[in-house]
Amino acid sequence: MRLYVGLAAAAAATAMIGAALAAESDKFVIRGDNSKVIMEQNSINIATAEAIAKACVDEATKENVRVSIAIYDQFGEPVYFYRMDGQGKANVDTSFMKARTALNVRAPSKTVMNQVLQGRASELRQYSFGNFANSGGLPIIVNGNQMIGAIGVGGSAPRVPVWSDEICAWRALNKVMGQQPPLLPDVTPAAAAGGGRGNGGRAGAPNQ
Amino acid sequence: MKLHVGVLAAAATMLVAASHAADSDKFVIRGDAAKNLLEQNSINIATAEAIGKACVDEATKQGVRVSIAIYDQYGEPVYYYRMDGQAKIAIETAMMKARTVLNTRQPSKAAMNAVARGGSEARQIQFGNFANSGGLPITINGNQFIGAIGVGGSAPKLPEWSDEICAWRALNKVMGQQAPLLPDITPAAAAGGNGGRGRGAPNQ
Repeated sequence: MRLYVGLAAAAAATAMIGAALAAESDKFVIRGDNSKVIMEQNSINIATAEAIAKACVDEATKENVRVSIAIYDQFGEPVYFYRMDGQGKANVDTSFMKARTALNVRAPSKTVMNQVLQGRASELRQYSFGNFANSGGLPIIVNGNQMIGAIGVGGSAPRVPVWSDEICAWRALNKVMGQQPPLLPDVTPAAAAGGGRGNGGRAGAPNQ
Repeated sequence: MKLHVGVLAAAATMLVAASHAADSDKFVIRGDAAKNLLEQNSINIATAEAIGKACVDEATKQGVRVSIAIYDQYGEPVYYYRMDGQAKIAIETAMMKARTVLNTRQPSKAAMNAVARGGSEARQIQFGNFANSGGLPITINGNQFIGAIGVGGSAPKLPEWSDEICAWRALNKVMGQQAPLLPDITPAAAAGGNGGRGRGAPNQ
């Protein structure tokens, strides 16, 4: 009897969680006929991409700065792009590079930046991977562990901890996708720390 | 007296110039943002978004999906919108069409028609052109290029619908009356003609 109760409870709980998760996804990913056409169930939909970008534009406007915002699906296909007036070529390019980095490493692009700053990774090696060692790119995730796309924000000067391209993206994701994990720490460059590491400032940890 | 008439003519020219300036101001980046760029002829985001949305509305009315890419006059991306259900090829062709417009400063259909008339498609590809309709220049004041739009992803049903018609209607709505679209021509190969190959008319 206890076994039955346990099974029933477990089954019911699992089914409920499954249903709740499915409902969450449905809001953010391409569904219905549109997903049948592309045979894909985990791509960010345009409504979500636009909402995230607009939330980010609102944040930038509040800060009185300009940004460029690139949103890719999980395959790296562009879904939405928005360049605020007055953004130069480097601002546009870096927004794409940051989103691309988040796609490559399936983590915030700041992980790459921090590895380079702390001497744990070679910037050249990261460059060879196609990664841009700078913060401002974040994965867009549903159900806790399914990446449906990535956002890259470029173009504004950071004033951490109050403002940065990454904070812009993070606030937008919080608003549209729900509570996001905290941002990675802002680290001090190893070189600036004076190189007291004993091995010439290089840690020699393997680059991913 | 003749001099006075000349001065009047000059004044008239200035009036025309002023009205043109006002036209530009609506569609291009102005103010601090333009100072920041040292550039007076780049399409602004409000215009790009309005064109993109007008095109999405047209596609929705037709019950089809499109992808829309809008570049500024240098080829920098300004706005991009992928309707749900668009596959990789639809996304890429939108950009390729806009790129073709930037290269040729003409509708991308000009390259398509050149090929349909027997021109070399390989030559077009070498130029970085995509010989297909759906890309149109975005111009102001009659002759100032401020950007390009490329629309991809829907099947053409000429003469009622095509990616190009989508872009053209959107431009008409947002930018005012546009030049008529280039003619839809029959491919030279299909027409039989001298061995099925064109006469080597020079491709641009």
